[in-house]
Amino acid sequence: SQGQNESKGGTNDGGKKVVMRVATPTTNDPQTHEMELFKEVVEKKSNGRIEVQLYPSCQLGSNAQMLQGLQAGTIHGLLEPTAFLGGFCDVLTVVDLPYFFPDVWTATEMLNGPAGDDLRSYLEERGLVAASFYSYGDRVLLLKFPVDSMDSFKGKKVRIMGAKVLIDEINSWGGTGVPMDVPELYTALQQGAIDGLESAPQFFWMGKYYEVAKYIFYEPKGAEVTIFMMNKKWLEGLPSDLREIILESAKEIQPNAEKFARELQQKALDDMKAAGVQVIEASPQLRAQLEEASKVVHETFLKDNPDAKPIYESLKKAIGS
Amino acid sequence: MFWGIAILIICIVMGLPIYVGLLGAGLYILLIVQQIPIDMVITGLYDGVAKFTLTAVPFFLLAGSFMEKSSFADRLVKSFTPWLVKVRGGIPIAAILANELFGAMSGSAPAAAGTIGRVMFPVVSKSNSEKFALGMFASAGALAIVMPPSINMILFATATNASIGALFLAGVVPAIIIGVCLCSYIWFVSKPAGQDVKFDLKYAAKMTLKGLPVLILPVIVLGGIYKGAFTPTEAGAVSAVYAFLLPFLFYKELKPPVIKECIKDTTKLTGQIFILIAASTVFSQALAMAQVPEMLKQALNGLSPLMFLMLLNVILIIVGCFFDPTSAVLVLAPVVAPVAASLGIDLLHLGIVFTVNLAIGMFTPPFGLNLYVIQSIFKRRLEDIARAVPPFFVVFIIALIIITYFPQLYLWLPKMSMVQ
Amino acid sequence: MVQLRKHLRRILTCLDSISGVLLLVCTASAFINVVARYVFSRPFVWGEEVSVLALVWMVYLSQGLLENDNEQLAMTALYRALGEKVRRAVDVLRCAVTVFLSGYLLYAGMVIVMRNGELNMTTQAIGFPLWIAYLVIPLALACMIMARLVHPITDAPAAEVVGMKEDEGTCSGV
Ligand code: NA
Ligand code: NA
Repeated sequence: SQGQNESKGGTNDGGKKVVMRVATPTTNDPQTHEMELFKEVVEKKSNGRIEVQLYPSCQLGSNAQMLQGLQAGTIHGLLEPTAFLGGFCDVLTVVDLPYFFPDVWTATEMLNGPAGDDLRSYLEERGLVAASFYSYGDRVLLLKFPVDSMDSFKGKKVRIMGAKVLIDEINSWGGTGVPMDVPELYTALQQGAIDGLESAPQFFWMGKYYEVAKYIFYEPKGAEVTIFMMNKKWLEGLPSDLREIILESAKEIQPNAEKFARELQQKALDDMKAAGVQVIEASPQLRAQLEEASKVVHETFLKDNPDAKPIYESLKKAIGS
Repeated sequence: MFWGIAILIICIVMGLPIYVGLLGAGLYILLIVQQIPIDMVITGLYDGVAKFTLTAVPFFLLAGSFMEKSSFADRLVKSFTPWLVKVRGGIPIAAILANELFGAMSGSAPAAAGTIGRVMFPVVSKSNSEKFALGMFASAGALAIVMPPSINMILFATATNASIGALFLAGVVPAIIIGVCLCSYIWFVSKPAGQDVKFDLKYAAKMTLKGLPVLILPVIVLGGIYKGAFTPTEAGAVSAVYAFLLPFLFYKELKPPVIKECIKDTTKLTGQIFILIAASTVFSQALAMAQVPEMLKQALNGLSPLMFLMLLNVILIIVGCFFDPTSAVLVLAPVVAPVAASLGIDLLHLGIVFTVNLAIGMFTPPFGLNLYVIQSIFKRRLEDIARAVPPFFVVFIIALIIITYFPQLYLWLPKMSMVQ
Repeated sequence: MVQLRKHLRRILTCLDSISGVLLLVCTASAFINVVARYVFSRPFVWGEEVSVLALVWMVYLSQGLLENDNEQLAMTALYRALGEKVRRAVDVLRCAVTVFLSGYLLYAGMVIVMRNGELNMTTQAIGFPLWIAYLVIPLALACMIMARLVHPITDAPAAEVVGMKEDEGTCSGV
């Protein structure tokens, strides 16, 4: 049937239509918005020579499986937060270190510029191309308890996004960082199996988690950054004009994606405040304490990943200047 | 695509293991139709199984195995039957209650049909008729997969990214609705209790007191999930430990050889179910890759949710006649869920409709695990059992219609638990 | 052949027993985790990943014995209605299909194990090497191939229907 001929992804010679399979773990969020934008731009620019097939919502497996699929070339493009790259490419979780980047928007801008070169070349060694970085949002905490001092975290369990640096972060504050599957989060939070979760405000809002936890603690204001990765070998096998279109498009949608993420975050915060959620800003002293406690996370990260040192240093220099 | 589905059906009909059919079809679609590297099959085999929420399955299986090999069911039944002796149809009604309660401890329908059946079949045969008893025990066992905990609900939730805890809570009222329908039917067809039967309050109270340690388990499991004391996975571990310790320490049952047998049964069942989970993960990812859910969504676009659910009921009842619920839910749920979502049907609602339909499939001929359990325990002919089932089938269908079209009757429970 | 079957079954039973031990460890650790939460108000961070790894190994270690004893879930009604000769033909076909599929997957599995090893892929929280975790799949496939090869003909069509033995009074199945 014709459906079969269209979806042959293996052949990408000259005249035939190229199929690009792009996946992401989430539903209805900045990442799905980005993949839809990408599809629209690529298909328009290529005059339909490239067909972008979208697979949101973990249709092609968990984060771990999609990463393996990307490496094998089953999936050609994958959008996911860098915090899910732990275990696969721990160096990239440098982005997720607490109190490293001032905020997510700066982080994304820097990573897309020369400061991100080291990171990109590191991925290329693993057969992947970092086509673009997008802002997901400020990484903050949604909690069932208010925070007024470091002691507030004692004995509390906070779900983190998976990367070891995030586990270490919560642990360094006196709590316990636990990874957990997204489908169970709502019930776990509501039932007290966890006392809070760490992600961007738009994630709390879309998952309706604020219905069962009423405090947003606006720290560490970490960088929740989406990385759009592609399979290098597949990309290089394409005719050069198509390859250019794909790489250009991934960059071109950047401003639109940024605008969408910012607006969504603001809307999420406004809506949640209207629903009675209290947004807590840390006092300067508390912030200093948290930052001080988090230093050990940076040290552990560098100890665990000796090859991350150059990337860490160069990024740190760029942030400082 | 066509050949992919054909391979699946041919393999299954010829009696090849179902996992072989799923893997063969999945491989064909991925490698031949989509021309995708084989990696995805292996990572799918690993990933389909490597989910924390799925650890609840062996836990509940182990718990069920301990209950089956101890006097759990016996004590459960004796704890409340003395209260119902004067009620019209009291004995079969007690059996339905026992199935509900056993269902609230165990996740497996055949275990319920067999365990409760073994204890109560003779008395129900005497109070009503043997045919009645055969039909009733074959069908009422199905309550165990509607009443949480339920292995089928865990599988549905994992395949569709629903919350297991919420789906569990959504199942409580439907199980009660089915129970009420069954009891009403029993009341109509039973004779009033004889004059010679005497109600003995002292005896009834004594038996209830004795059965209390067993009756507490559903309270721990369901109350624990409702109140948030633990997650469904933890509830599984707690019930396994409880179902072991109680008979082992206090009833002097479950001697080491029996324990060994329980563990062996559990690893066997776990292996049987999980190779299916793994293979169906590969198969459903292959379908996703071929954009089948997308095509279905477009094909069914514009269908009203009511029509869709009716269609789904018909399909699932037919599927249930031929397939076991485990394979049916694993193969169909990932394909149907996105379509249902696009039509605005609540995922929990869909999960309950799936579960009830496939529960009915447990006792519909030609193939239904409960039929075979009853056959092997009571040594009756399959034809006789199949002939006893129809009235109960009708009762279940009436309950199914209520459950399908009035989700508000039961969706309030998970919602309420979330508002606490 | 008889000796070979005996030895193989002994090995497969041994693997299944390891699976049983993992089941107990898994159950106990989940239970202790609940206790730890209430008594010490501190869960183990590693609990979840260890459980998942144990689950994967538990599942695949028992596959060899299931294949050997012909206890995989199947719909055998039509098969049982077939004549003796056709049944044997289906058996041989089944053997061929299983060995071919498993062999192909065994090869692919080894490739993935090696790639995960080369790239030092690990689980996120405890950093357990993924190649070891994945190793159980080729192992299971190898066991299944051997089981099928020593039983090219299913000695007795065991399953009445999905996982239910005719002569067995137990209530297995789900
Ligand atoms: Na149940
Ligand atoms: Na059936």
